[in-house]
Amino acid sequence: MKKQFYFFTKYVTQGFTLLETLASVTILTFIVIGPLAVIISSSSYARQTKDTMVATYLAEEAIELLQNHYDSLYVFCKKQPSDPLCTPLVSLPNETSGQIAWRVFKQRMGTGGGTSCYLSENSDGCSFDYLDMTAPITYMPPVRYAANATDCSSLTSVETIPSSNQGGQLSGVSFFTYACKGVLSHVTGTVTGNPFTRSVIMESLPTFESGSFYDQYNDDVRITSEVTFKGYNGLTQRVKIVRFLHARS
Amino acid sequence: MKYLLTFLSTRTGVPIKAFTLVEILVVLGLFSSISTLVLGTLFNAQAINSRLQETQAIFDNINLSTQTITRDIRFGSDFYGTTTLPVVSVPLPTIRRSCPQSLGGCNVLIFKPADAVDDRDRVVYYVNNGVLFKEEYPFGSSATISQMTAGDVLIESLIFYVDGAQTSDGSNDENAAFDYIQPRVTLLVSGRTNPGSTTKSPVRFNIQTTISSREIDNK
Repeated sequence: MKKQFYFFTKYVTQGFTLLETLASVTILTFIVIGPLAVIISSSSYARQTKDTMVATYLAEEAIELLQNHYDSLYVFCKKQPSDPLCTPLVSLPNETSGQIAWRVFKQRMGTGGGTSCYLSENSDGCSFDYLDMTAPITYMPPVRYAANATDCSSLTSVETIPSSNQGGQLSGVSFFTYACKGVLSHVTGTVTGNPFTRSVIMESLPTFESGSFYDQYNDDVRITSEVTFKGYNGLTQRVKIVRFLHARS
Repeated sequence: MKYLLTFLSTRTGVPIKAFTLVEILVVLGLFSSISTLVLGTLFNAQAINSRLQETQAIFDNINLSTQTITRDIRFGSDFYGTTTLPVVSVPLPTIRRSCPQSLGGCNVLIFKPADAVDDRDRVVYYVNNGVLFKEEYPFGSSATISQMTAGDVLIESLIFYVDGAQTSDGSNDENAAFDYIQPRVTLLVSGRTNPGSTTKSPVRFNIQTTISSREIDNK
């Protein structure tokens, strides 16, 4: 033992100080953690690209469904002007079918037609899925839900495996739809993947008319469709699309 | 060596202190182990980065194809949904046909493009063997077939839910059906990336969007 100790004292005369050790350990940690952090962040960024793409299409879908509802009302009121659907509560003289359809559309999307999508009436906005918007237009206003209600607070990917060749879709090959998670009649298959939250907010932007926005037909309606999802770094990511609708002549 | 050091210190008047052998050995050992660790991490980073770049390029391709379909549908008209793949020698139907979600949808969509010169010009979108195709049929001429997705994408499912394709009087419709709504197509695309190397795991995607035709139907 004595001999061993002598060996060390003979050659090792001075050790590292505490400060030196701390400094070197810190530098080493940075050297190793630096590249690791870069890898992790770039990996999550690339995976997020896919979710951002899906979210963008979903956000666009909500606006297209509303645009389609107005255009369908326009076509309907042009072809069936005497139908009760095309006779809004307040009738103005010399209204064109486009203007009537515009007022019906705005009334349907307000409290009169279910959960309102207008910011002034429902600050959270509304939500719906494509199945809600594909009901026959003459039947009733399309079903909407409060954006934060459990019915449609998240859109989930529903996997369906057709048992037989369905509409050209081969049997055994799954297809996926995004539907309101809380509406059981829409979730007809296995729920898969990361859910998306979609909310729609409509705002009437008056031009020179006054009075209730329901009765105006020169205003614009601004539709903001926002889709959020959880990123791989745990933070909420957001895709927002804004489009303006205007009455057809 | 010892003489050299003594010589230098006496000449300059500054005592020279050198590293001991043990110090050098320890430093070299530490240095080599850290370099191995860091180099390994860097090579790993490079491999992951190349994979990510490939995935990114594949998704750019999918996005571009989907954008092209949605834009074409948005400005198209006279929609005809079917489940039969087009045959080059057989003329395409120039009538209309809805294909709603309640009936399972269709996986081939034929419609009149926005840039049609003749009323009977048609465009077809379909998937065959995992590849998305677009065929353009100018009336009276031969078809131009374009492959829309590259070999590194495998489209497993393409479905169109077509509503409101009919006219308001049932004319020009396959079943003489009519409707009073604006054409609307819900597009469902799902598939996965098909990376070049088998060691790379594929990334799955499911896209859904709805397009409302811009040109007013039933004028």
